[in-house]
Amino acid sequence: MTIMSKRNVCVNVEYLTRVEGHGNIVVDVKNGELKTCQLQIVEAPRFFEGMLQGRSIFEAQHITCRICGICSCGHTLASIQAAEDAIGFTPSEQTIKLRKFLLHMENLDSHLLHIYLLVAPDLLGVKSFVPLIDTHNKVVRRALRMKKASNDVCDLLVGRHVHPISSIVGGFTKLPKEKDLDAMLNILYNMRPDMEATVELAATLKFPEFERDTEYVGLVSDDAEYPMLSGEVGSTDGVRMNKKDYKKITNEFVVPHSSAKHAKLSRDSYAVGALARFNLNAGKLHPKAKAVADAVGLKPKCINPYLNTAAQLVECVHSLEDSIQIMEDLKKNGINRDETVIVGLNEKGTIPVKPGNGVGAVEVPRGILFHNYEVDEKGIIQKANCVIPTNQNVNNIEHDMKKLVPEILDKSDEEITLALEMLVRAYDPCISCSAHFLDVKFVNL
Amino acid sequence: MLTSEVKEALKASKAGITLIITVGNSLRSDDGLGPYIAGKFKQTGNGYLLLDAGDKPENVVDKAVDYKPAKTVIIDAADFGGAAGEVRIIPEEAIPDSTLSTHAFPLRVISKIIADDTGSKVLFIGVQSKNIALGEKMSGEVKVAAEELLKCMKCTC
Repeated sequence: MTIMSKRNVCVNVEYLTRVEGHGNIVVDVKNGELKTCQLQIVEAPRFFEGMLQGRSIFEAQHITCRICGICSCGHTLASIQAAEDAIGFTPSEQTIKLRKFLLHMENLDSHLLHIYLLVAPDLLGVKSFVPLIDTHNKVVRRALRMKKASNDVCDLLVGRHVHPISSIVGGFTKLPKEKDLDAMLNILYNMRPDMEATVELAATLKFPEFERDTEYVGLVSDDAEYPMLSGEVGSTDGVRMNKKDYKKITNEFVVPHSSAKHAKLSRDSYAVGALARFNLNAGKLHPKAKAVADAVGLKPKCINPYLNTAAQLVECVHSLEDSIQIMEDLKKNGINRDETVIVGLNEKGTIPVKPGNGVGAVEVPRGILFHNYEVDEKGIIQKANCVIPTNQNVNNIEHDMKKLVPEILDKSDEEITLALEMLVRAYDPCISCSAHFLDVKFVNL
Repeated sequence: MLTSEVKEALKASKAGITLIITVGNSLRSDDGLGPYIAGKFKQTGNGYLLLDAGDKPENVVDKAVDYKPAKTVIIDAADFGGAAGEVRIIPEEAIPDSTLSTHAFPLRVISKIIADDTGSKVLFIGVQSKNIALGEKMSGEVKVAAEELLKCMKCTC
């Protein structure tokens, strides 16, 4: 590769739009040599772990879902899983099915919005989603329909479009009725043509070509299911560990330029998210999702981070089809309403509690999410720890940037800036889970 | 005190339904303006209908279109550098592409769809917020503005 030698680059973007939250990219190129390349997360910690101390595991999910308005269901499920693991509670098969369904809806909702609102404008050559209402009116309306559909299903299942109410430790306080199952199925069936059109659109989009081999981390299992809610933690470098050993997986460390912790496993950095899941478990996807992967040219092991968006599209198809399968099964076999759990703060001891240490590991839209609670004999949380996917990705993004910048120094300042913005966006970072705004600055010394 | 421009914007349309869409998050202090107005608004049959979009405006578009409003007024807390509680008509082009969240639909897209599908005139009313930190309590200034807006809709002054 020929680096455009002694060039200095000076680009200063006030803040990068279309990522959730705030942060800074600082790139320092002097005489063609990359001096500094950092993704700075500068926000103060939010202390959710501190808020959980002294609270009951039976209310923890209502607190932790507020960590994020985008992956509130994921935080709820990780929280519940950690709590149930700590007290040794095994949820029923029906509960697990409904939880998988809920997670699918959140992944659909989040992925679709990332694809349409945050990434598509770059690939269609406009600055934001808004101008598409004039140039791609049908696309905008389709995105709106699909977003509303996944929101409405969440509302039917857990009582609210965001921040679920009825999903708790032990199961669900309200189980869907026959008419709810019909309504949800109807919404999902109606989503199929829109999903097909989304795939057709995505197949026409051209993603930047860039590759960097890295380690991909996510849930893995020995069964045939694409693991989102169960299994062990594995990596494309051959690591396989119990979720209880999550600290040995994340190996979190601090760097001076970021208030978000960084993570690494077998190499300098690792990636989590849709592309990681695809690289680890592509063979377990629904056949329709596999067909879409083929159609968009996505094959494991894919090491182009920009194609995380393509992996999200593949997962959308998987989530839709698997959700329909779950709902059809529940409709066919009927919902066991005796499993409705009214537990409150477990004042009546409805669910047996014992002291313990539990870990929840859930594949949320941006990657594997860990919650770890240590609880006493009353189910009161003594210690809590949450490891967010974006925090695990930040270090990997920086390493991508360090490889990308020297490769594109022959581009204009605007093109370099856009390439970096698109790279960060490809990870769909939720910096607001730990931080806010992303300014891009190139510094010439 | 509402300006004549704001009062005019809120005036019930003689051509048909005047649809008020309130937007906001009641857990974000002054951003709770929209839900606050929605909670106190009473359908009085004087030409107004209200939809509370909360922080998911995309979820009310279908209903809004079904109502076939002659005029649509979107009310939200805003930051336009005014005094806390100041109420202004916000020009469409001044509304940022991402208002609520990067993962919620931009208000400009929502308004364009309502306008295109119904022919409705769409206006934005912004109330200058004082504080949008986490919290359930609105500032006194914004609460006064909310009451004035409610009063204006009630009496169609």
